Amino acid sequence: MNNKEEQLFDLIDQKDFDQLTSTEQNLVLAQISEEDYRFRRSLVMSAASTYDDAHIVPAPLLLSTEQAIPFWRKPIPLYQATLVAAAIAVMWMVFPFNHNQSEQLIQTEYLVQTDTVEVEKWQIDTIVKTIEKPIYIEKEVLVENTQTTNKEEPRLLLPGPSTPVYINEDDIASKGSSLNGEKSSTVLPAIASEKIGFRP
Amino acid sequence: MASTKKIDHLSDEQLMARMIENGDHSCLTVLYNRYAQRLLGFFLKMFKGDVPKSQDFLQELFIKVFEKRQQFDTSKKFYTWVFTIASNMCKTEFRKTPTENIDDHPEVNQKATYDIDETDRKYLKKRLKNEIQSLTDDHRSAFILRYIEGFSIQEIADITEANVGTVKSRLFYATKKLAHQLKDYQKNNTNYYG
Repeated sequence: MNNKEEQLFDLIDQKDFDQLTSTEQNLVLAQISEEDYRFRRSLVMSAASTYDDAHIVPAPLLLSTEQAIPFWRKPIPLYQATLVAAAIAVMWMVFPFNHNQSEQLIQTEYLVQTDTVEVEKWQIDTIVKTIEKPIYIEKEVLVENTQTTNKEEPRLLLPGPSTPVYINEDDIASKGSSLNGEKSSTVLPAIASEKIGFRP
Repeated sequence: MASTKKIDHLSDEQLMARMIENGDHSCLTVLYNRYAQRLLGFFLKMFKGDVPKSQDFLQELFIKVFEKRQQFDTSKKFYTWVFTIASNMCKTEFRKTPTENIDDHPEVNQKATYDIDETDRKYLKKRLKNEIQSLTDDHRSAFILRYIEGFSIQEIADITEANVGTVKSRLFYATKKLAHQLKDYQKNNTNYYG
């Protein structure tokens, strides 16, 4: 919009054609007709009456501001967000998630240290002999149990040593006399001898 | 919370100062009662008479007023400030859903070719309304704020965050376009609104 157009706008915005001075009228007529000026002025002056929306009543302010702003939409300062992120990062580093569901067991370990257990001294020769011997100190430590809970070692069932059994013939021979009068002692061997050829 | 009757006499800016100080909701209610009708009218004009949408925007506007109360400069006019928020809401909405150009519908945009009488004045009002709606968003916003809401050029510049020259230019071309679109009526009567 050039300067003349701006002046024209100011006049249309503020004055009817009849209110213009002769200089202003000349300025207007140099650009548009009087009829056009009046028409434009008429449009802007009557625009307000074009709308008739007074019958549309605004709804009451239903939402209280507390209800209307859910907590996730409330803005928080940047430093608070940064602190929360930092806290999460620290927690992650200090307590990392361990997906191996191993359990902590108490196991005894032995630390080998050197201790002086025997000293022999000869005062005359000023000879000192020091003997060092490892000792075992019991200490309980936590280790991960990555094996099965059955700690019993498998047993090996090996064949035992073959032991020969010696039979004394004399022990077998019948030396008693309690069954001398028994008939079956003579009848049964006879039958066996007859049937299967058994000879005692 | 204070009763609204006790604070009814306070100015807009005093109400805002009180709301900033202690978050008094009743101040918001008083401001709503004062300006809801005009702001609803503004939204209706900007959204081409869409009542449900305008009502929603009105509610959202006052929630924003409460949320942004700390940003309000109590040495300035509340009325201008609230229209600035309303104007920005419209801009955002137009960006999301560009308005349909009414020129695409010739049946709506037909020119009258007959003499003006009293009955036709109603039709002319409707035509003018349609032509205002067919303006671009920036031109329509400036035209409504100036010739319907009655803001000064400087206030419109503040509300729309544009300079005075830009506002004048928008108003000049908006008026020129309206006159061009309605020129058939001009031949018959240059002051048909009386």
